[in-house]
Amino acid sequence: MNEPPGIEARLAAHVESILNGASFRKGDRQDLSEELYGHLWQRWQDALASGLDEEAAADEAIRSFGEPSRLGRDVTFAYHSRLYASTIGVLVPTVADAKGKPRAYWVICFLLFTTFWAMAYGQAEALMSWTPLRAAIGFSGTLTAFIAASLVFQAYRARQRWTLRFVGLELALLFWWLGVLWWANQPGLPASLVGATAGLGIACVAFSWPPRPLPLSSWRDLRLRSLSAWMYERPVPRRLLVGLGAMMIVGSAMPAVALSLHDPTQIGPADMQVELSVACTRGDSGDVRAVEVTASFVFRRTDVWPNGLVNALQGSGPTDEIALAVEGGRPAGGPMITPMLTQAAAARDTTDGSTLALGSGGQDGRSLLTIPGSANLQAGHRYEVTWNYSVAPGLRDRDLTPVTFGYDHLERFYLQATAGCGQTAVGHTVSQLYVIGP
Amino acid sequence: MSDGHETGPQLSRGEFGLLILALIGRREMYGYEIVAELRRASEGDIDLPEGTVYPALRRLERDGLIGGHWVDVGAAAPRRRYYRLTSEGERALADGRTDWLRFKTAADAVLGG
Repeated sequence: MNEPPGIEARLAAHVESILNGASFRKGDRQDLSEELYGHLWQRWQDALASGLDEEAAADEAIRSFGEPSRLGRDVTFAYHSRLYASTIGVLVPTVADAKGKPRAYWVICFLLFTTFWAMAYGQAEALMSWTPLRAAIGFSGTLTAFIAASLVFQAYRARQRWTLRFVGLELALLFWWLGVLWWANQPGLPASLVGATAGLGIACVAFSWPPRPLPLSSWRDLRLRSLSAWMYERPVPRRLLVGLGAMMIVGSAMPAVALSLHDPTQIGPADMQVELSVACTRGDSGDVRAVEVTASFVFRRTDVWPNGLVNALQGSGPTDEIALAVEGGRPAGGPMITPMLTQAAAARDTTDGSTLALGSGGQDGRSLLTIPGSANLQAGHRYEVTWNYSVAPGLRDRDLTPVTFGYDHLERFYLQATAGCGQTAVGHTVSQLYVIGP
Repeated sequence: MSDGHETGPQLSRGEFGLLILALIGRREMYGYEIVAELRRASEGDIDLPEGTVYPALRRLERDGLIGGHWVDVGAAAPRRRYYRLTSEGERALADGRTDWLRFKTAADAVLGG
């Protein structure tokens, strides 16, 4: 080659400006560069032969070669046209904006950005109210998914085409999650709407993970500029893809799994001992005149942050409830039996004499006491509630059994016991309880 | 000669690819030669920006219709990448030619040519 270095460098720089604006397989860069340069060089030689000077001949070669930006787009299309139908890009045909990015890029950025922050906000909310183990697992999972999604998002912004697969997966998960939420919260929702969200999710995955590209001949006249055409091909280690995918899927699933796990920092029915006694006062004829029901309970241990960190600090959240119901039964065709409570019940700490809660004195034989979250129940303390009631005249010939006692701990488990006067003159202790719930 | 802007008939990518297949079908050619031959054969009516031939060649090569190989032409000049039709390219050229003639006949009938 006998061209002066200045012209050679100028022609080479023009080739670079074309290739820098194109997306293609990196391994082809040398061949493309050499081929384009060879054309410019020969064109320059022909222009020289026609009588132009060196600079004017170089100008002519560059001008006739075409606009670099258009050639860059054509090269990109040549490499990615087969993939137009195999990515979600075909769903969002679009034109480039002023910065050369497809408009769909910004839409997807917004969707991902919103998803990330919704995920972070949801987890922050959960951390405030979840028990320690569940919060730790949920937080770890969400953090894992968030890191993976952030890495993919950065790669997406760097135009790496493989990230479209993860964008598809992310959007699919979003649609499916919406479908599950609708299905769970609105039972009357038309099945077609739930099916549509599921279908959109499947479509996202299908277009993101094609079994193989469609044949070019089916798309040779497709003149849409799609998202995939704008992205760079970049070989990515399979292990990295699998790792990122696993981080996103497992990480996203961990909060849901955490909710179904038993948290050993929280008490269960076995950690609570309850005794129920019933003392009945009878008249000369043996009929019941007055009844005293006493329930006592002891916690062997207590929960650690049962309503989450913030609720522990604020003393709010779900509370314990104690209930008593006098089930008189209803004789066939007879009046409803309605015992009369003589006083409102109170729950007291027998260890230090403090009052936990005051209950309503129901006229219908039912009483409810709510222990506030701020009550700070202590392990080893014995708590006691006593109900006294007289029996309405006319009902004294009835054996007022049974009474049903219930204790609801944070809506997590429910203990229930039934006892009655029977024919005994004194009360008796019930230690066998029914446990309802986990 | 092209000034870098398209003049004459506007070609779709498919039509442009078919013309390239037809030229390469005559004999092995390299990019610069294809551009010159296209201009000569069309008597200057098809005068595309010269660089547009290379994306088209890449697309045809990736589709398996043509194959390329490098040829040294001496120390004084850059190597040239020559292209020839593959058997699949020959079939595509035959199909494309048939389609084009059918279209041309139909268009002539409509336009009164």
